[in-house]
Amino acid sequence: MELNPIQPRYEPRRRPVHPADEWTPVLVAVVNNARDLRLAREAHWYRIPVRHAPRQIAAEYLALYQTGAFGDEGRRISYYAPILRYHLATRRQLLPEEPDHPHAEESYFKLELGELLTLPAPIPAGRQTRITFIYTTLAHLFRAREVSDLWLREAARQKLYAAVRERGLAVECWYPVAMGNRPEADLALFGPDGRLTLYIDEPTGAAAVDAGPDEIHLDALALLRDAEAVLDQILTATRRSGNSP
Amino acid sequence: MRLGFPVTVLGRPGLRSHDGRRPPQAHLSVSLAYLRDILLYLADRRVTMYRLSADLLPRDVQADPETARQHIEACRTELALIGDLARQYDVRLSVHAAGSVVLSAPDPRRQARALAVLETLAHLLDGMGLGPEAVIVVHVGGHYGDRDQALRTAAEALAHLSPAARARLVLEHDDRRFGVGDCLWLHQRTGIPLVFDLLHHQLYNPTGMPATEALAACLETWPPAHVPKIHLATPATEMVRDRLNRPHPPRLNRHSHFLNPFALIDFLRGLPPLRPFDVMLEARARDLALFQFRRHLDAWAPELVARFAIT
Repeated sequence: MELNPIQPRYEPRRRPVHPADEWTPVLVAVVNNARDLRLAREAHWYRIPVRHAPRQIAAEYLALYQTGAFGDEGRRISYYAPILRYHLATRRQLLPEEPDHPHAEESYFKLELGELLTLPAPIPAGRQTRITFIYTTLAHLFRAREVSDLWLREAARQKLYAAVRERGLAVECWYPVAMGNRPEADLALFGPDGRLTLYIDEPTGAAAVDAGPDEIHLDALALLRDAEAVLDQILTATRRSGNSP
Repeated sequence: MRLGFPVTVLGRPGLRSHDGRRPPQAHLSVSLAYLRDILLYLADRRVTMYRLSADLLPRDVQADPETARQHIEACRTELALIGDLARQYDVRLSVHAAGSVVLSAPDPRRQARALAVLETLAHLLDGMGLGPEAVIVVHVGGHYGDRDQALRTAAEALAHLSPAARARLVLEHDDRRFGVGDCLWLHQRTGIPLVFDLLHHQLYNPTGMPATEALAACLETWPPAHVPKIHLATPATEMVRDRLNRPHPPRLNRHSHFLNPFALIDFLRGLPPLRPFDVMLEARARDLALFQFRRHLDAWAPELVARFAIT
């Protein structure tokens, strides 16, 4: 009897993740034209308008998400580079060949980069439709199979969920609530006094641990670092406010 | 009364206090980018005082005046941005010189290095365009076998500082060698204001000066137009274990993770009317300790929040 040979699944070789990578910050930014990619590769710099800069720009690496403008090479992250310096400059100083551009006098953060490196495997956009800035870590960058894996919120939610279940508390994920542009809470804890909804924010948001009457916002990085400690804080704060699950 | 915390941000782990990469990768501009992010975080959390990392500039650069000047000059615009953000968000900045900066060192090279670092730190703060309340805190140093001589050496060293550096320098008494009385002696000879540290005073007070009297004396060393700052901390009390897992009591000069609110509330309640001052909370949980202390004040001492206009 002839057996069909089992074809091995091809797994692209990924760079081994070093322990330090877990907390090496990476800023993912968008490049939507060939000139800016060339500037990053050949002139070794990238610009972010100060007015539209995210709340966290300082990082050790910059990863570039190329939009659909790059055709077959677009909608993915293929390149990253170490960030060597940050400087402030006007657009006119950065791009003197466009002195009359409407934004010529606007201020930009100029990120001076090291050599542009190629990721072992590009990270496709996948389910992600709109990408601006993502603050992530080098470990996430090397493990990601699609862009949504870079968001720390999902990993943080899983970690907090596991910590809550470990303590035997009643919990639900993606709990629907009627609240503006976040129609569902990341987690909801249930107890005799009611429900406590938890929202996990990416590091670029203004996250805070506040024991409001029934709602708390949490920082994704803080959860990834020590979900148990954050859960202790939540439970201590809510016990005092009389709304403990 | 502003409440502040030193250096490390725990509430958002991705925020670093400075570029911690090894030279030559580490650069002042990267440190300033981290500092920009921290200032935005402080604004989000309504924190109005913050101690900068003493390592904004890599340490090997700090003691080399010419190289430090080049780094600072290269980041002139970025330094100005930090100053603008600090003013915009009303954050009082300060810096504590590293422990290796020793004013009383008898070795002239070590003393010269200490003075160079202080000049560099002053130059950094000047580059940010910060006002005179952005101070550099420094300790006296060691005894080197002759306490009186050490004090005279420190006084002579301070005389060699530039006017710009002297204008920003403040002296802090310590927990074992030079108490408030010694620092008052230095103030009388140099005019350098003093920072009162409650825990240090509790641990080393050879003259038995009451804490409120020591605090008042330190506050009076500051120019009338400036708001003094003090340090508040409570000692660690948790058991520590050695390499063999044997239990030991903690050293009392080790700061607690979170502040003992009752000790500090009692201290603040016992104060007579004094000129306004700001408080640097020295706890190992940093910003988290500050947030917790604010909650404790609201819960147990709302009258202090009102009396001292605590923000």
